[in-house]
Amino acid sequence: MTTDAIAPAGRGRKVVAAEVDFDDFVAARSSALLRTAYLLTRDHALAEDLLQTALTKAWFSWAKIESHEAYVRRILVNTYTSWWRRKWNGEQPTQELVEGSVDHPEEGAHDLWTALGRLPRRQRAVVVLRYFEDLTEAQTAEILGCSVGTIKSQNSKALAKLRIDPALAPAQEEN
Amino acid sequence: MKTIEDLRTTLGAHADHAGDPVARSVAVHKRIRRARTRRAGAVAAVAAAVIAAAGAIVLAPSVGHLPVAGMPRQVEALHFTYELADAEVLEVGADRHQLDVPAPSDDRQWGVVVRGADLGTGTATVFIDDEPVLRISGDERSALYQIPGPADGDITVKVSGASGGKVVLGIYERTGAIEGRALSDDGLVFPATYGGAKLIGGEFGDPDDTTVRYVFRAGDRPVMTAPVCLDPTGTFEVSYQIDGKEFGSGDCDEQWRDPAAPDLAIGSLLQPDQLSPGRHTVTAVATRRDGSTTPSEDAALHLGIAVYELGGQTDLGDMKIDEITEHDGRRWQVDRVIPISKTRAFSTEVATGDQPALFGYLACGGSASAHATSQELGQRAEGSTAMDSTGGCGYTVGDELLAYDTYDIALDSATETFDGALVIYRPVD
Repeated sequence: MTTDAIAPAGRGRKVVAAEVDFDDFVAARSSALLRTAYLLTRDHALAEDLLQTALTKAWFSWAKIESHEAYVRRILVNTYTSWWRRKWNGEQPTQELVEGSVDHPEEGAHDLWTALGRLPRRQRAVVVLRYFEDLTEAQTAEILGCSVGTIKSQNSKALAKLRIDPALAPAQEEN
Repeated sequence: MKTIEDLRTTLGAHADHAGDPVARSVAVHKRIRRARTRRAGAVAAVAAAVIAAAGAIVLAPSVGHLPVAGMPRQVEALHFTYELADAEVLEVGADRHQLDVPAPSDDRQWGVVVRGADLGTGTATVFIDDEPVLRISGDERSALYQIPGPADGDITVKVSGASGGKVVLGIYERTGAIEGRALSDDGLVFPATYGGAKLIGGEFGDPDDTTVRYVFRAGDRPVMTAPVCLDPTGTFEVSYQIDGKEFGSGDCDEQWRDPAAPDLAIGSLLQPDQLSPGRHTVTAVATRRDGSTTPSEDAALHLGIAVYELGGQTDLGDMKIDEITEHDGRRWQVDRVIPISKTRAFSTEVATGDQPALFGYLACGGSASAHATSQELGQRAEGSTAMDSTGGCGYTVGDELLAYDTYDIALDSATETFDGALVIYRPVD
């Protein structure tokens, strides 16, 4: 039995391309979405938790959504940005995340990764969507449910913070 | 950071270390089964199929056990109907005073009923996950207790003070039937009554409607509105208006759901200013966080608003409270009010007799917490309650008190003296 066959049907909306099977989608696209989740949370367990939460929420509307990946990504990012309000999974509500313990994949990336970890959630979401997902400002605004102007402002603030973050100071001095 | 390219490289490099567990699909389906309580009503039949497909049925209806003497096939319990799914019998004897059955661990809605036979003055107490929830004596049969969401442990019945007789534990599953002239849509229900309030009417929006409007005629009684807004993407927030004037707002999250009845669309009851008799309009308006009302193609927004006529009120001096309230899946009516004046600590004994009770308390001018301790079990009722009412009055409904017990109820304040009242409720039905 496929999950699509039992997903609750939408009322009064013509379903276009609704034959995208939920399980097939999870198998095909969740690795990519997990990467986004990991860049947002910086923690493997939280990333997996966030992704599963987003997929679970999406399942209930599966039959009536048209762009499944965009929909799941929107839930993922908005669930992440609202964590601080909901103390989700017992996480302490903080505006500025502390550095997590992660392996550093390449020399030189460490300081920037540390600095990224200090960005407020919403600014980090903007950076991830703009520079990892390569979304336009309009697409980023659509996902975060705000105006393009807000995205520009958040992005600008995020980049400014990254440029002056103390974590980058030693490397800059060496250069 | 020197360039944007550095940023892209760093993000890409770390993203490759995100990991890729292979059992995600299974894990997600497990979560879906649990979360499906959120869509219980309208998709009940579909939900059962998911469980069956996953081979996860626990306590499935066992027709061979039915009917069990003294256990009704159907039970009406606060807005909903339950059907007997299974029953276990304990023949009480010298070394047989306890019955343990696994609690339903899926996310359907379940309830339990206990019945005694020839227990004399002995009692049978039902525990769910070690918390006492029901007690009967002699040949009594309890009301149905709604199991609040998936339980992980056992349902246990302990018999005390009886050397013989029998105890029957009935496990009931909720059917799709809804009591009275309720309003339901896509898994959400505005019940026909809530506490002592009566549904005047309401409206649900179509999927992704960002505005829902309901026109009603007010009488002499005050009204309350029950708005609901669900948006799994977190894109929207909602405000409520009456005759075009905003009187409340909130998030469109799911924090308000009652685990025992997640389809009840009663997250908050807002009482607008007294309305003149006649025609009025309530409106729920969902807006994106940036303020636009542009419909979204795939937001799956679910919006609704209902209007209730307020029921009777009990005057506590500084505040009026509803005479009838709902708690733990039952209706309760104010039975006694015990005034409390200028104290930092208040205590009293409440003997429940052959009916359970519920207590609530009012505190004015200070913060107070309350605890109920069972003399029979020697333990506090689950979850003491606390209320911060500094500078004003606050009212909180506390814990349920089991029948055939005496409770020591204590209210205290760590800092200031407070005035108030202890309110004892009894079941309506």
